[in-house]
Amino acid sequence: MELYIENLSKSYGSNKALSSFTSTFKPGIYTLLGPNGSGKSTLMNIITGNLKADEGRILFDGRDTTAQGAEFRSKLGFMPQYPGLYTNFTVGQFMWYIAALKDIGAEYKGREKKRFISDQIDEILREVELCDVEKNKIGTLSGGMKQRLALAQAVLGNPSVLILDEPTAGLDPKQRISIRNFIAGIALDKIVIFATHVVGDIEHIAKEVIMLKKGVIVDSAPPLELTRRIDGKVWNVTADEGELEEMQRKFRVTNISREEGSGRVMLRVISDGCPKENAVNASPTLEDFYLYIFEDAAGN
Amino acid sequence: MRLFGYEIKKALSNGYVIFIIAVLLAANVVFAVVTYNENLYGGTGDSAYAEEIWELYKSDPDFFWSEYERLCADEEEAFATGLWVSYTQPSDYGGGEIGDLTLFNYVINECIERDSGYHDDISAVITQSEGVMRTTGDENTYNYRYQKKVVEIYTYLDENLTLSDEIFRGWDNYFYYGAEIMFTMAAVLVVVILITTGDYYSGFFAIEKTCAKGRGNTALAKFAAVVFFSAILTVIFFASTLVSAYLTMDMSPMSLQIQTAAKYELCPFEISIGQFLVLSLVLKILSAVLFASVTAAILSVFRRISFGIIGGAALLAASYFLKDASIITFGQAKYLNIWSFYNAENVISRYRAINLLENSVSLILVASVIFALLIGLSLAVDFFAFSSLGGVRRSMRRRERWRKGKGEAAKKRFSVPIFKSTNVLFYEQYKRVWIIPVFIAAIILKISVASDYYSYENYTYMRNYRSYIEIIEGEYTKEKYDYLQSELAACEEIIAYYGEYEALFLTGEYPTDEYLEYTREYSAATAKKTVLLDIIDTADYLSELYGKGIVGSFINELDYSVYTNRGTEWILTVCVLLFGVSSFTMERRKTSSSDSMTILLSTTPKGRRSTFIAKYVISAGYSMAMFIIFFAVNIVYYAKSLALPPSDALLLSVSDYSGAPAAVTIGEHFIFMSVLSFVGVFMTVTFCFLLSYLMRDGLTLYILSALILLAPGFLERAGFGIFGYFDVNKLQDTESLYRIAEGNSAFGVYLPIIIVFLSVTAVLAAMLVLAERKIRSGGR
Repeated sequence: MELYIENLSKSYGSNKALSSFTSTFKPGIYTLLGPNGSGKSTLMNIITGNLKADEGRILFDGRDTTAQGAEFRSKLGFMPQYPGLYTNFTVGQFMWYIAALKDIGAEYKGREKKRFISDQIDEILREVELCDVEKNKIGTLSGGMKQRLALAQAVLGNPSVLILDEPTAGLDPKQRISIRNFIAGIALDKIVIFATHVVGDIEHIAKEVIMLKKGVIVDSAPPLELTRRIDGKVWNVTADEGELEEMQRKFRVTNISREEGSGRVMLRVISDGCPKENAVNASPTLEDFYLYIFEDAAGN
Repeated sequence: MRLFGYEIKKALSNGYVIFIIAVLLAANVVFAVVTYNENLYGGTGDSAYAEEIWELYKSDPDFFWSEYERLCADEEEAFATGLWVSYTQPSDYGGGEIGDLTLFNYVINECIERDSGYHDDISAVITQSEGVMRTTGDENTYNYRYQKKVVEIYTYLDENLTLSDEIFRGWDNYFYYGAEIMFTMAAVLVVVILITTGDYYSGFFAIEKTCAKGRGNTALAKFAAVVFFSAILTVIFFASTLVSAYLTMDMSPMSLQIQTAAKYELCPFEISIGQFLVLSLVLKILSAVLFASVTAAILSVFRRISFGIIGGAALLAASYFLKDASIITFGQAKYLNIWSFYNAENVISRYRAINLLENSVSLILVASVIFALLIGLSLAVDFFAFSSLGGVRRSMRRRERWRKGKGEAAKKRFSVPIFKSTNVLFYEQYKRVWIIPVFIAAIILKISVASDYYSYENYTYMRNYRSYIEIIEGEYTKEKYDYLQSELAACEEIIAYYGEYEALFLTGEYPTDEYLEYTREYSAATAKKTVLLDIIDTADYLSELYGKGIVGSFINELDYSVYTNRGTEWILTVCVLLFGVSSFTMERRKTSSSDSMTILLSTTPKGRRSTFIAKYVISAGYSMAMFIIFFAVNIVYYAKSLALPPSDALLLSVSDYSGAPAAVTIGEHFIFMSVLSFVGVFMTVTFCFLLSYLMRDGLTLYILSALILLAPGFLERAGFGIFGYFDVNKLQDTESLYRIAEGNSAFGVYLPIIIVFLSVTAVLAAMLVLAERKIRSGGR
């Protein structure tokens, strides 16, 4: 199974949202990382067929996805960032509706088909911990529950390609871990592409991180490899409170913690060279790498 | 004060609400203008000729009276010599349009003798009240005290009020218009819903309630905003109606006494029309504020728009029915309602008082107290509901907690069922399940309207007309023509003896019972003659056709015209607009720049074309089903009450269709027009559906749809005939389309109609091409 994207470009007027994007996806988890306006949503919408690219093509198992049309969409699962679910539908009804839209169980007929769909829905709702609220209206669900429901509808039908936009946004830490593990569990035989700002979610599960900036891939590698690229460039620094402003002006300060009563601050700084005499190298994280790529010294 | 200002600002910044209010305001103006154009109270008095006669009276009353005597003498002479049949009023003063005596009689009855007529009527009221007082006897009863007050009030008016003798124009028609209340209250309701629930639905509610001034203070500010907007909207709608009147009609000065208007002849206040307008405006504002307060209180407690709409509609409906309720059952308390006070006629048209412990207390005073108490109560409810209510979707969660509290069995019994359907069409219906009650309500409304519209009008002319047509119905023959002429001659013979028999009766030479018998024959003959003259006009027309070798038929044209002139089915139009335009509203909500339910749907195999088709089936299916049912209702009620024309009669037989091709029968025309209407409705719903799909912005969609579908028809009815050519509803109202085509085409009648339909087909085809492109690209 392979999703090949070749030379994809898309502009909105004079704004180039995506520029010559090329990448190959095989089963596993791929993360799109980048600031707002970097082209993540544009890419996802082009893959899902909701936007037409100006240039380039997408091949799934060697065949153009645009030409495949509904056939490709039958292998697709998509979780938008703000899905705008039907608030008057119950959770269960909504899942059945999605099953109808995805034409799940087309190979079966009658009761057998309904049983097949019912079993799938029950299993997925159990996985995302929504089986207790199956008969509740979507309008009564909390934000986190709606997020899980959006994920549930995306994975319904066992799609080969799963596109997830901010799947853990709005979830508490326990839920985030649960969803992360759920995604990791189902990604063994799927191509999962998800966009996120929560760097902590992807460090342990992503096969590859694609860093996008203004529509262009700036880097693409497994998380560990990315973090190694800034080995020796992440520092822990102790400074006086009064030096803080200057430090922030001169270097990328990714974390500030204050020592109680001493008037001193502990800074985590990204810098090619040693920022201060007492600076000590720290193990870089993916978040550090993100800031290294996307943030200048002024914090922009 | 600042919070109040912010509430005003929030309301005014909502484009949807402003648009709805603008539409309601425009509708009020159009309806008012249509009403004024019907000019029920106009006619002779509106003409410039009446003005001239009036000026003649003022400048030279002696000459006026001598002219009047001369005209009366002429008429009497004609009457006495039996020349009444052929007598026609001279129209030297009336420019050939209005008879002179008619003009003089108008000026005398409506102007010169207005004041004396008024005092006669007032005296009759006083006399009647005095009579009731004598009958009642006991001075300590409400009845006695009420009648005593009536005597006091009208005696004062009788002694102090003198009505002007100027020609009175416009105000009778102005006071006839009573639809303003519906538009005003609809606008008020929209604003109340926005102010009371807007923060709740936008999600701002939770933030608001955590602020220091976000509860009680905000509740007061919102209530003040509700009152403010009720008053302002009332003034605006009131002004729009008044301006419409001034733009459409000649209006007499506001300084005239209100008693000059027919409806308010017995108004108990010595006020001018201008003062009356101010008083009625105050009452309108009071009514609107009460309406707004009560609906705001309902919305504050339940926080659901549907409750507000239902509550508001119920309040208005209850008021409407109460004002027409039996006075025996409810007494004058039946006027203690919003409708009566808004339209003022029940309240100020004569002295009204309520029985309070056998005391006669002015209705206006009682109403003011009651309304003020209700407004205060609503404020209290609003204040406490807003201050103490918490959470989102309270009613939904309360229901959930109740179910859980009742245990598993109750949970199962009361839970919402899950329909395990795999059919996309089912889900599109599920999303728009509201269509079903709307559909049913529309059918019920249509039946109600049709039963009234097609009811047989049992007045003399219709009875005579029907009886003659029943005799001669069918193909034209010379014998039938001769029969009509002989009937006419017989009537004229009877009529000719009127003068002679009257003179003999007056001299006692003609016995009373015989004379009475003759007057009955005379009345019948006069009535028949009127009908016969019209039917003979038709006979002349058919005779002309017969001379050209075309055999027309006598048919009941009056009944037939009831069917062919029924015009646009507005209930159907509004439903078609609603069904079509709402097709994609469930998916139209966007909460970010890139995501919506549309996107999610479009990533699924059946979320594009299949969903598009399913939505279309729902919209078009219900619209066409409604058309078929409406069609059946029309035919059933037509056949039940009126005479169906023979289907094989030539369409040409009906003079309104004189431009039709010679060979077309009524039956063929009926089938063709009915099929076209069916296609027309199909095209209309398709148009609305495609427009809904192609337009992204909901507000623009609603504006455009309303403009295209509703505006031209309203403007045409308001007197701007050119808009009739752009009225999309003519696709459904094919008889009107036929009349336009017949009047404007040198190429036959049906060709232009077909061209119109082909043109619309081309437009729809272009829209379909755009829609197809959008489907392929995912619906964005």
